[in-house]
Amino acid sequence: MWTEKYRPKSICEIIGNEEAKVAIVKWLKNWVPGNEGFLLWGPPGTGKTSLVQAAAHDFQYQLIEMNASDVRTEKQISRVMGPASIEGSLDKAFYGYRGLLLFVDEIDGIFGREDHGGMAAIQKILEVTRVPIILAANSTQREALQPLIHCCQVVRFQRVRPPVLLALLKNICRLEGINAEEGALEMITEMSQGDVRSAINDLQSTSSGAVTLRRENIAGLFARDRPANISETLNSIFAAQTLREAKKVIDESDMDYESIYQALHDNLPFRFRDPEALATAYDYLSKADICFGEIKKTQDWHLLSYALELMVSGIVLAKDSAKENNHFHFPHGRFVMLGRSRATRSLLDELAQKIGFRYHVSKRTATEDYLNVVKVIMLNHPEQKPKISEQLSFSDEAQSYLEG
Amino acid sequence: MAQENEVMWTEKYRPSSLDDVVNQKDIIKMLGALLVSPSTMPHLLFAGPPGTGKTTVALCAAQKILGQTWRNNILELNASDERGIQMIRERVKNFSRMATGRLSGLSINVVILDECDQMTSDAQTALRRIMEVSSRNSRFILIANYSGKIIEPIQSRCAIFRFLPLKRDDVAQYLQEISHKEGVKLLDDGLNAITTFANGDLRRAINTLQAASAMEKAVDERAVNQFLGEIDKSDIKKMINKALEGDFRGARETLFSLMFNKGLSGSEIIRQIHRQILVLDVPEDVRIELIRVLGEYDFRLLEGANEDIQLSAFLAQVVKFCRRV
Repeated sequence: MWTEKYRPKSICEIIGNEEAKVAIVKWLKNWVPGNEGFLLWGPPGTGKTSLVQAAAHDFQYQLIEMNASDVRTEKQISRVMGPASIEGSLDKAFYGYRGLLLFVDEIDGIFGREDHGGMAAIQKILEVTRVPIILAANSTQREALQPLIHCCQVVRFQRVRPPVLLALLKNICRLEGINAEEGALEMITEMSQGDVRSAINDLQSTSSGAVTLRRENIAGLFARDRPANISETLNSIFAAQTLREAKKVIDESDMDYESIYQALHDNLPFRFRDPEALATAYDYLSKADICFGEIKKTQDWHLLSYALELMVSGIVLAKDSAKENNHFHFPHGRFVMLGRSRATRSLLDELAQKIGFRYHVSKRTATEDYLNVVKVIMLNHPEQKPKISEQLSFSDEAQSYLEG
Repeated sequence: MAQENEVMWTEKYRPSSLDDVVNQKDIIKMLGALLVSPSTMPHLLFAGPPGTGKTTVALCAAQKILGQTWRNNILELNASDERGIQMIRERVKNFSRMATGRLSGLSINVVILDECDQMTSDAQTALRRIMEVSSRNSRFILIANYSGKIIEPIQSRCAIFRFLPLKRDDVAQYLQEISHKEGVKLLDDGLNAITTFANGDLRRAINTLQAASAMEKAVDERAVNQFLGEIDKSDIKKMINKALEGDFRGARETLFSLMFNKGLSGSEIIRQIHRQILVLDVPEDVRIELIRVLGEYDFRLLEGANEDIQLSAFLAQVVKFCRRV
């Protein structure tokens, strides 16, 4: 991903938004407990996250990032942010960091009533924090955000101006050894509307593999008039009034249907507030899933059309007046969880594999039918432990995991 | 097979010869007749619900076919654990080469392939080819929950044996025997609770007995429920309650954690939800409606491709009841 490869490491590498850069440096330099927080807001892809990461790098802070839409209720926010905002001295001593820097992205993903005082919790933490806290949002329109605006220094991020963006793209071409036709980069710049991330993505996708970036490749992007990314694809699907419209979005999207399918799964609860609407949308997603299952089993690909139609039918049917948030949510639930618990899962896998082998069952049955029994025996009859370990040849880690 | 030293009772009391298998009498009789001349025996397909003795009978049959050297000439694979048909082909091929069992001049071995119905029809077609190629040396015993999910060409190459769920009395008798040998005090209500929970699955019944007796001196209903409650760890309950309170995202978060952190399969989660719904503190009409919805989604889960989507869809249905509880 070029967007990662060329993500600025240091503040001076960030293009555009000079005022914001100066403001954050000044704020961070002078920050002492009791000072106000820092709120960045502006359109996506303009460098908010990059700026915070670069600032942390330049000032040697250890950055703790979190996405507000992952932790929403008062309790969750206090649990996650609370400890980080009062500690940090340990890291200072151990790693030579100046301390912790807390970054909460997408705070406009928090809603008032349903989210049980999430905003109030953040506000409270801002008042008592011992470490600097930066918040980011796409817009400050939401009324629930107003209290935060009063206890933060608010800095607006602008779309990056075309000449600056153009210079960046030229530089990337130079580094990647790409020879761009005259006017090609200008077209990408114009299309991006100041969104650096999408510009770099477009550059990568149109020039991938080729030495010369031709205007016609980019013209192709124009002519297709496709939603350039998953967020736009989703927005178009949720805006569709008829099945045909929704289907057309899928057909014309650059995203493969599998990604759209997963993204719908992840985003439905953030788009529909009304239980009836959510249930309808999910009901049709479930029906689509049955088609996918059938395709997987029988390889009857003609069913794909039904699967794709069912996949969006529920969204077309579900009318939700509260349908308001068109913020794209990354599939945080599953993937974050999968990443976080890799060690645990590999232990569980080892246990399941060894139990399964010894008792002639699949790993799944081992997990479901045996694991708890083994645990209970070990817990209540410690004298059996050596025998169990010997018979199942568990590693020490697995052993201690079982013992809790 | 059974060893005095073995910790787990399911293994310790696994019958070691066909004569010791007390249930599935018809199957044992027919199988016994086939095993008289293993060299001309067809491949075998065992179909039936979990915990009814399929693997046990397969192991006993292998022992009978291979005699003394059976341990070295048996390959046990589980289709749901292996990564793809390619892996299975490699392992069967390598294994055939190393076969040392002798049977009327031929070297022979036995491949036991469990959970075949988890394989896609493409993989099954490849499996059929593998069976053909290696049938000179290898006897396959295929095991599945549903024979209907096995492709016709494989079914027609196998002698099919259908295992029935064990009767309640059979399970009870088995548990009493084990309790007697292990010196466990098994009370009537405890026995009743186990057989109800196991629902014809002997493996589950024995495991529950062992766990409950590890926790309490006397196994009564309370001890059994204590262990079964332990399984839940109340996560399932928490998930349903969140959904009933209208917190869909929270409920889904718990679901993901159960699936991806704890490794529970969708069908296991459905089964536990089922148990929870029966004791949930909700009006009767809601309970009945929830059971109907759960049944619907249990079916969809079997047919579908993504368990997390089906279960999320189920939770979305549950959220609809939040105004009625």
